[in-house]
Amino acid sequence: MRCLEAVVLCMLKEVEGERTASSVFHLLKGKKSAQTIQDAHLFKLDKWFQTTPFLTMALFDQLIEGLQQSGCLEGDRQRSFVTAKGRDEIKDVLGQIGTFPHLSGWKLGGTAPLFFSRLQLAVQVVSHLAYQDRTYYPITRDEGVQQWVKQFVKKNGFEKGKLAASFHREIRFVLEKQPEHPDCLLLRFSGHSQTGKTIEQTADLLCMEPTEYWFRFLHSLHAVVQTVMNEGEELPLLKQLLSDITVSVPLTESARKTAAYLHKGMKIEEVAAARRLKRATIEDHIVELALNDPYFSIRPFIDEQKEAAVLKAGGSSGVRQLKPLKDRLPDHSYFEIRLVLAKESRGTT
Amino acid sequence: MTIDEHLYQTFGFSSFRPGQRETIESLLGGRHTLSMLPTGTGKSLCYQLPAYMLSGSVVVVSPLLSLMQDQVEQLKMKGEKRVIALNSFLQYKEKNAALLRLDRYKFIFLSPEMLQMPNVMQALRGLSIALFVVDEAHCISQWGYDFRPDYSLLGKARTQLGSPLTLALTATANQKVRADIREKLRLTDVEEWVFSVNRPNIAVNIEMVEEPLQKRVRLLEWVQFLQAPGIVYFSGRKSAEEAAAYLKQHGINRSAFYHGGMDAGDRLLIQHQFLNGEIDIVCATSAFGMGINKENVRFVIHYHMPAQIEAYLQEIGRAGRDGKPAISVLLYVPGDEKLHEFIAESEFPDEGQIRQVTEYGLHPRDVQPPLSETQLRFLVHYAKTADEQGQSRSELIRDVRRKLLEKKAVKRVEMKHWVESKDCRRAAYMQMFHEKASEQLQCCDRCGLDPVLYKMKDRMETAEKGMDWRERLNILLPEF
Repeated sequence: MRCLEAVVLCMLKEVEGERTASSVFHLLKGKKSAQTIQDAHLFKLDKWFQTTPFLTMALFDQLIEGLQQSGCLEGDRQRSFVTAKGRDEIKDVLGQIGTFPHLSGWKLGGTAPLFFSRLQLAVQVVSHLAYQDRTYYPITRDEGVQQWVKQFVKKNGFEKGKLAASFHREIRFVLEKQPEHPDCLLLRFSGHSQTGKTIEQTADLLCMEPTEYWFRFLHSLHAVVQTVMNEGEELPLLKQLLSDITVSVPLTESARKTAAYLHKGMKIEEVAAARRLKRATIEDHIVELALNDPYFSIRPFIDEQKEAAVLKAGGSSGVRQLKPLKDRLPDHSYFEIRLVLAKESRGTT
Repeated sequence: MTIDEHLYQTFGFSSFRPGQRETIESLLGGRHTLSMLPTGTGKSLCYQLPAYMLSGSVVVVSPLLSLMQDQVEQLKMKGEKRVIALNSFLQYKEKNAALLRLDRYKFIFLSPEMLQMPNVMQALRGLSIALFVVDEAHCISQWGYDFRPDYSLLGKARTQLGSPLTLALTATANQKVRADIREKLRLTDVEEWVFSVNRPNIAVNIEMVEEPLQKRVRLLEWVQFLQAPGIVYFSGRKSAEEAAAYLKQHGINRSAFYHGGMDAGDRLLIQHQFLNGEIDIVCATSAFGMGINKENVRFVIHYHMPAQIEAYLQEIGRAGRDGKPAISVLLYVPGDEKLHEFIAESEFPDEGQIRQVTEYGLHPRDVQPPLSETQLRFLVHYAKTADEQGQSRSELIRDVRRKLLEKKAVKRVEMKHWVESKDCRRAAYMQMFHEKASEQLQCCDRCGLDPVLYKMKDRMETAEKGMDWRERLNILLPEF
């Protein structure tokens, strides 16, 4: 079984009976919808959020079918259950590969790819500078990244030999700290007289199954980004590469607009009227905001007593199904219950 | 400075390749010029050099995004910063910013659809245009290889820009196509330079194979035998991938595949690895090769018969740009042409898709199943043409589709005849361009050729495996 299948199974196990198989697809793709964003937290699957850019719906369908045929999965797309065999497979595969503890798709899904793109080009430019080799093709055609790196080199490159040496030291530092084989990242760099390898080629060179390589690469990259975030003082060059990447919390555009209205002091009905949306949609936005924005207060929508009642009824013990809670809390609306659950799960991630 | 001095100082070459001097002198004499130069002889120099001798901007219309990007990068690598490509990939804001200061650029590359945008045309009209270049000019003609409907509007755009000095470049255009280029570009007084399609240093070898499975074995044998680097062309993405895997299994480590379905970043890496000599066999679809300036390609193998002779000549033309001996091998199994029948059909919208637009009034973008890029362009273009001419959409679209498919069928048959013919390969392809052949050594399988001349002398091996990562990092970024 490939690593990707094991990851999907592992996610399906978390949502089984409560969400469709497609919800796992949307999580892996990092869909910016209220439902997917809530699922990421509710089921604690946030580390996988937006981690498989290469996956298509067609590929995912094939994969699910394969899992059903091999007896790892039973039921239909609406309600799938991981079988005992499936659980063994997860243990087998991820037991060997590991569970990627540093992977953090939710926080870094947007940041890491841009950081890597900059790093790749910066390494290439600095490497060529060090060898005084001026003729080469840039590794990326992204004009934004090209402009950025040009400024970066201009700012840091007074003494060209030194830049390569300091860059070398910083990269060695982070490579020694991250959990995977350093070649997972290193082979992807282009420089003087060597061209970076594609994902396939790197997997091949490291004798890994390609999706396993992909997750190891991402795991390594996320670990590096976190090291740079935490120990930036020691890593001035890498810190710059990360400095102005502003990929904010993945809120849906629509939720952002709703937040702006709420900020003006409007009530739910007023926002719904102004935006010509249903009340339920606005409520979805509010739950989304409660999940994502650490400064968002749920107080205007539920008072302390009611909030405490939800927690007492089991809302703090990781219960994710709304129906049993609602049965115990006849005076609460679903919205109120979801709001409290959202706030609670925010606290844990 | 004379053009020879420019050639040396700006481009670092000491002599021109056939056709370059004639084309450049014609342009510097102020004459509109149509040049047909065989693939691999450095067409882009024909407008790059005059650019430095004329004042004003050089506008280059190019049919393919990737080709455009390659040309832009090559100019930048030579140290030219005043280059820009205007295409659909550019963000709205970037495009507007570029249009505001368009006069700062010496080289402006455009896709044809950009010339239909009012703001682009307005910005271009504000420039002094030294030279208007139409690259791959055969795309303008229905009779040409790789016809592109949106190219047919270039004549109008050219007139609107005040009919600047114009250069039409192509590698493959017979008389009929050349006449079409002149007419569609509205070039009345034009100097025509036609150079032979013949590339004497490329031997032509066609090998009959009895059944498809045997091809793989022959491919492996050829690749093991021939001096690299080389390109192997396939008609489909999947077969390119499979063959690359097969070669790897059999010890051809420095090989990779390349096709349009790959991630753009990966495509770029494979291209760079090939240019830098880190891999030396690429199993590719026709998406690979345009705009890649690699001088020392020693062989081109066709795993499938190309759809037409023009495509074949373009593709083998990527071998031996350095003028040294190279060989092309075509592996043919009877029935190979069937594949192209299918591919040709799939380039056009089908009956049902056409009807959704013409009868039910759907926008081409909403058609089910969704249209490919080429299909969409085709449908949009001819729906518009029909409206402009007051004709029935469905009749015109079906009519054009049928005609183009018939044309492709004719070209396919021509190619098949060429493969099956007992005559000299070279003489036959030259005849298709109304040229007379001269005899030469190492000509083709019909005239007799000795493959040993192309035998591998040295093959590089990879040292990547086994290197410690610290060592690798130290090479990448020396600590000194």
